[in-house]
Amino acid sequence: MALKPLSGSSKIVVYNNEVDLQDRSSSKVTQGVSVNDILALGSGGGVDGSNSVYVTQQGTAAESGVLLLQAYQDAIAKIGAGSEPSTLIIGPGDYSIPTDWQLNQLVNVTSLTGQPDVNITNGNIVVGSGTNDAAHPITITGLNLQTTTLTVGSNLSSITFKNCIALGEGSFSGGSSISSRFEDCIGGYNSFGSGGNSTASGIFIRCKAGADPESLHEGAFGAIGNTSGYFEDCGGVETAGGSTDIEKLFGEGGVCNGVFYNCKAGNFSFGYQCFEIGADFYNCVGKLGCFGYQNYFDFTIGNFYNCKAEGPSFGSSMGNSGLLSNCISGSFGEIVDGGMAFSCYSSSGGFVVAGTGKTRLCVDNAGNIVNIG
Amino acid sequence: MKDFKKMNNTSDWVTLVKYELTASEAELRNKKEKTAEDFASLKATLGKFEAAPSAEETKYLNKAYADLCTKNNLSQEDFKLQGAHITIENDEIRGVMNLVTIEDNKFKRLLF
Repeated sequence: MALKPLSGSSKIVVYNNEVDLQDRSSSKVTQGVSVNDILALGSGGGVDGSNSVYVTQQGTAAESGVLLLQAYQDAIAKIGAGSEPSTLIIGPGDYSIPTDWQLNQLVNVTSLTGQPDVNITNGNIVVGSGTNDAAHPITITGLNLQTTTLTVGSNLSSITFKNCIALGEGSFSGGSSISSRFEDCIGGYNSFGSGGNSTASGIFIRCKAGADPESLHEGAFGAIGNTSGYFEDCGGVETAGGSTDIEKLFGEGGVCNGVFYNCKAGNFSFGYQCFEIGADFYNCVGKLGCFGYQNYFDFTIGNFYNCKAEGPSFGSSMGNSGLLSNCISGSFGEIVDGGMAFSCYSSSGGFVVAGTGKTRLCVDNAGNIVNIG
Repeated sequence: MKDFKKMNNTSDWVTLVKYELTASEAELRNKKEKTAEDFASLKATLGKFEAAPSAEETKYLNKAYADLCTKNNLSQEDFKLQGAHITIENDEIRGVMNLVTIEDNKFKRLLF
């Protein structure tokens, strides 16, 4: 007979403490219990630790939501006397919370599996300053908000978010400076330090974001705002059409600083219409009008290494005074005082320099090597 | 609670102000191809999100910034500041200072 995969109805054999496992007759004094029964033990059911609380879905989503908020209160009671964080472990399932969930204490919150399978509905999650303690950092893992919002207070730099999804507009935003650490998180429109001239000042690793469910608006990672943080392997979330070319990612309209590695975005991204760009970009890919397109009032002073865009990009309004190395674009802005373009390719134009700006080993659209300045 | 930021080595500290864009300001903000006049208006609009800190606040912010540099053996010439962000709440300070070191071009984050 072929073995079936394990499921909730699979049995776990439990031995009494006095049983000698070498004694083959011990099966007579064992009891079997199903995986579902173990999970249903829930909060207070005997699986809580001295500094942890476990809660699982029980009854309806609404009933589970109430239990979840109660379990958070139970976890608060287990914070150590020296402020050592406690941990709330949440089983997979649906939790419809009756009110907004205020996370404002030193409690780690994590899904049992580490995956985003704790589905929070109805209420929002508000992460406040009480969660931030450099000596006792906490992590929030595996929360999944498909329609509601997870907002983060200003400068909560000791908190890490892992494998969280929050698609409500303005998620992972809220404070003036979003300086937490985010790993493998997914946000919606205006997420990750966007809106209201706020700044994405945190660490962002493998995060995706940028579109509302109907794709009527796009923008994230300092959209309608600024950047000063570290961004690695970040980009647009996949839309219904399968594209990840989300517009207006990574700084828009303000100051675009920070460091970007291997990030990818759609049109009008990477410092679009910013008035100051001092970031360093490595191996980043954009579409039309990126990397300081329509920057204004100041030159683009950032550095660009192995980056690619289309159409007019790379300081195309006011020029570049930083370094462009191995970059490709439809056309480049003027290379101005202090600027240098090295080994770049312009697919639909040439290069223009001013002042002490230089190009070396660049190639224009006619295939000519351009060394000017 | 008050938020402050300083975005490069030579810029001043600014106090961040909560402000909701009007419909016309939001429309201008979202306009894809802006004229020089649009940018001038936008710059003025963005100014509504910021104010100058008081002399006392500036003194305090500068001291916190200088102390953090000293504690990490950094002088102004050693790094390109990407953003210093400070929140003062209940007489406590918290925040980050993001920088790129000149010597090895590495991103570094220090906590206030």
